[in-house]
Amino acid sequence: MNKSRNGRIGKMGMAILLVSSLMSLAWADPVKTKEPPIPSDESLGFFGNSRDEVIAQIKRVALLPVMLPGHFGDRSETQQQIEALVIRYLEQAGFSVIASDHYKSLYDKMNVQLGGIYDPTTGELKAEQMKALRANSLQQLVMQDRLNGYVVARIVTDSTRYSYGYAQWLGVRERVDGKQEPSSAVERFFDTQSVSGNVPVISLVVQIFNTQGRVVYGRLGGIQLLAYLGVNEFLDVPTDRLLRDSARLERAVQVATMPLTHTPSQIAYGDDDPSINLTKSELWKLPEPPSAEKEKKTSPFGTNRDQMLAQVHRVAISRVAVGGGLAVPEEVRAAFLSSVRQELSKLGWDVVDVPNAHEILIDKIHGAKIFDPYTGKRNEQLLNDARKSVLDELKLDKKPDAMIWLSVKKTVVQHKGGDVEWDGANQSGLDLGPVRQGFWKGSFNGMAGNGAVSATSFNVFVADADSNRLYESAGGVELLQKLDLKVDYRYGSQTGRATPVDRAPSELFQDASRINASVHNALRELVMTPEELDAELHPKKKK
Amino acid sequence: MRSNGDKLRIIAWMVGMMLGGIIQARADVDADRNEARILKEYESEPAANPYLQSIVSMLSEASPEVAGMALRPKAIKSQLPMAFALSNGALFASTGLLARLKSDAQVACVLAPEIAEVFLHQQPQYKNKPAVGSGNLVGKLLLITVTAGLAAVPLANSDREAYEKEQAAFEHEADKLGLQWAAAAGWDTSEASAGIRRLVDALSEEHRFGMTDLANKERLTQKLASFASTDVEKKVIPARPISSPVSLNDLSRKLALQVIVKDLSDSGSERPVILLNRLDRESAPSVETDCLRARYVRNSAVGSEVSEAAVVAYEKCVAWPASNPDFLKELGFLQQYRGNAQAAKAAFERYLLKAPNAADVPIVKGYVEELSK
Repeated sequence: MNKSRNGRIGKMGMAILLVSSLMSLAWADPVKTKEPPIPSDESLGFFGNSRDEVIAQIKRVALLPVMLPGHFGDRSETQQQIEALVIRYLEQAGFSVIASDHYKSLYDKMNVQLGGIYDPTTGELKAEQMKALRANSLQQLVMQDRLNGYVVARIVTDSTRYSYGYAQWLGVRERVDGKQEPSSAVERFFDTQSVSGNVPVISLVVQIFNTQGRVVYGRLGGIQLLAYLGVNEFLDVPTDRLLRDSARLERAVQVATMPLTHTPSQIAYGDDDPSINLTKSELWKLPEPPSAEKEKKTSPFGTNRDQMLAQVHRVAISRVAVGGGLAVPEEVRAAFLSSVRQELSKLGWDVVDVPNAHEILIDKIHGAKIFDPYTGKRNEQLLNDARKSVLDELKLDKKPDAMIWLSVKKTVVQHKGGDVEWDGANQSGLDLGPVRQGFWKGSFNGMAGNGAVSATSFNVFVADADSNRLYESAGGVELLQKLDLKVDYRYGSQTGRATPVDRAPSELFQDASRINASVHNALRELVMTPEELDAELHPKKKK
Repeated sequence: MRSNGDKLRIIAWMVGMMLGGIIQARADVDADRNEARILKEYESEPAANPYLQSIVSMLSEASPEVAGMALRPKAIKSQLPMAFALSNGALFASTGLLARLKSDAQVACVLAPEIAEVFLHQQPQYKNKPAVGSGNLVGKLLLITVTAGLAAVPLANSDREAYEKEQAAFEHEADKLGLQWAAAAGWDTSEASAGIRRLVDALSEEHRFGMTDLANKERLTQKLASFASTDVEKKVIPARPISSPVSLNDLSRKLALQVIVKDLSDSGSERPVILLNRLDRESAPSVETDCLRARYVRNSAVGSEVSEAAVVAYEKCVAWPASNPDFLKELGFLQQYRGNAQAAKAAFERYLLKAPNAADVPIVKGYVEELSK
C-alpha cells in the first residue's frame, strides 16, 4: 500500500477518533460527572442551630394537638391520624415523643382555673388570658415530662403554580385535573396537558420548638389539591372529603420530617430515590383523589316563596350593620337602605324602620352570655331566643310578621384569570371593570392564573317573629383588592403572577350602580316572580 | 370670534388638563393603596408618632414646601432602619431607625431627604419625565436586529448606567434640598453624616445589613458621599429643643429594647447581647437590660438544660425593684426545672405579691399549692 495513502488513512482515523471523543464528552450528562450539592441545614428547616445540635440536644418532645383550619369543624379522627403519623416519623428520627393527651389535660385544667379564656357575652378571645394559658401549660408540660422541646403540627392552605397538568409544591406532586394517574407510561405521555396557572392546595407544617419557645426546626409537606381543573373552570373538593387519604397524609409527614429522618447528604444523593424525593414517587400508586363538585346553589328560602309571601305583610327593617372591620360611611349605608326599600316596594309590604334593632340584639346577646367561656362556641338556641325577643323589645304599635336584618361584610372569593364572580356580581380584579367577555372570558390559561381575593357582599336575613329563617341571601358589592399582575418575559414565553393589593378606603363604595346591583341580587329571588327571575338570569338572545 | 386654531388649542388644553388630572388622580390612588398595603404589612408603633410629628412640624414651620405636603408621619415596627414618604403625604419611619439614631438633628436630617424626593417628583422638571434610556426605541430595535442580538447587552448596560447616573443625581438633589430644609428649621446638618455613620456602625456590629436604603451598606455609603458633597452650610449650633411629649433618648431606648425582645424570639444569634452591650455602654446597665440579658442566657440553651448562669442572671434581674413580675415567674420555672422546690415556691409567691391582678394568678396559686405539698 502507498505510504502516503496509509498516512492519510491514519490521520483520518485519528481525526475521527478525536472528533468522536469530543462529541461524547459534549453529550455526556454533566450531572452524573458532578457531586450533588449538599443542602444547608438552614435550607432544610433548621433555624439558629445546626441539625447536629438540634438532634443531639432535643431528644424528648411532646406533640401538641394537631391544628386544623376552623372550617373543618370537629375532625378528631383526622387529627389522631396525623398525630400518629408524626409520632411515628419523629420516633424514626430518634426522638422520644409524648402524645398530645398530657398537654390537653394541662390546658383544660388551667382553662378552668382561669375561668375560661373567652368573653361569654361577646365570644371574644381574652388575649391576656390566652397568652397566660398557653405559656403556663407549655411550661408545666416541659417541666413535668422533662422535655427538651415540643412539636406543633398544623394544616395550612395556600395556592401553588401548576404547569403541563401537574402541580408540584412542598415536596409532592399531583395532577391538577384530579384524575387517577394512569399506570402506563405511554398513557401518561399522551395524557399530558399544556395548561398552567395557580391552584389552591392544603399542606402540613411541622415545627419543633425548644423549651424557651424558639422554633429550632420547621418544614412543610404538601398533602393534596383543594380544587381541580375542569373544563374552563375549577371545581372545589368539598371539605368533608379532604384529609381522608392516609397515603397522602403520610406522604406529607414524610416530606415534613425528611431532614430529621435523613441527613443532608442522604437527601442530596437521594434525589432520584422516590422514597426520599417524593415528587418522583409514582402517583398511580396513590389512591384516587377525592372527587370535586360544582357548588350547589341552595334555596335562599326557609320554606318557599309563596308560603313566605302568604305569611308576611308587615316587616321591620334594621339599619345596615357592618362586619369584618369594614369602614362604611353613613351615607353609603343610607344608600343601601334606600335601595332595599325600592326593591321591597314591589311586594307592597308595610315596612317599618327600626334603626336600633342591631343595638338591641347586641345588648340581648351580651345579657344572655351565649358563648362558652372555655371554647368560645356559640349557643344557637340562646342566639335565636335573643333574636326573637328583639321584636318584643321594639314595642311597635303593630308587631311585624318578620324582621329583616341587613349587613355589609367582607368575604373571600376566587378569581379565575383575574375575573371574579360572586353572589351575583362580577368584577375584573385586573382593571376593576366588568368581567371580560368573548375571547378573553374565563381565560384560565391567562397570565393572572387563579387565586383568592377579598370582596364585600351585602347580606339579607329575614326571620319571622319566632326567629325562624324565612329568607337569606347575599349580593356581591365590589372587590376590596385589586390584582397586581407581574409578567415575566423569558425566551419567547411569558408567565404572570397576580398579587392581591388592598384598595384604598377612599376608592370603596363610590359606585352607586354596584350598591344598587348588590341589593337587587340579594333580594331578587324574593321580590321577582319565578318567571321574571328566569327571564333575568337567562335572557333570550335576539334573533 | 375665535379662530378654529384657537378653538383647537383650547380643546387641546382642556384635554391635557383632564388627562393630567386623571394621571394625578391615578397617582393619588396608587399612593393610597401603597399606604394601605404598608399599614397592613407592618405593625404600627403609635408611641413614636408624636415625636415624628414634632420633627415634621418644625420642618413645616420653616419651609412652606414641606408645609404644603400635609405630611402624616407614622412609625412602623421593623428591626431594620427605614424611612420613606408617599405622594399622598404618608411618611413612614421604622422603629429600627429611631432605635439607632442619637439626636433630633440626625432624625430630621435622615427624614428630610426622603420627603424631598417626593416633593421633587411632583415638580415640573421631574414629573412625567421619560426614564433615561427609554427613548429612540426604533433605532435601538434596528441596531439589535442588524447585529443579530449582539447589541442588546451593551445597549441595555449603557441604558442602565445612564439610568443609575440620573437616579444618583436626583437623589443628591433630594439630599441637598432635605438638608436645606433641616438647616432652615435650625438643625445642625453635620449630624446628617453622623446619623448615617451611626447606622453603618450599628448594623455592622449587629451583622444586620438589609435591602432597604437605610439598611443597605452600599446605599448608606452612597448617602454619606452625597451628604459630604452638598454645599449646605454646616455649622455647629446648640441642639434645638422640639416640643415632643417624649424625648428621642427615651424613645430610642424603648425601641431598642423592642428590637432586642424581637431578636430574642427570632433566632439563636448573638444580636441580642450585642444590642444589650451597646445600650449599657451608652447609658448605664438597667433593670431592662439585666432582665433581657437573663432571658438571653436562658434562651441560649438549645435543649432544656438550665444552667447555673441562667439562674444567676435571673436573680440579678429580679433584684431590681422595678423588674417586670414575669421574670419572677420565669425564675420560678427555672428553679422548678432544676428541682429546687423551695426556691421555685419563693419565686412564685413573690410574683403573686408583685402582680396580684395578673391574668394567670389562679394558675400560679395552683403551683404554690402543689409545691407546698
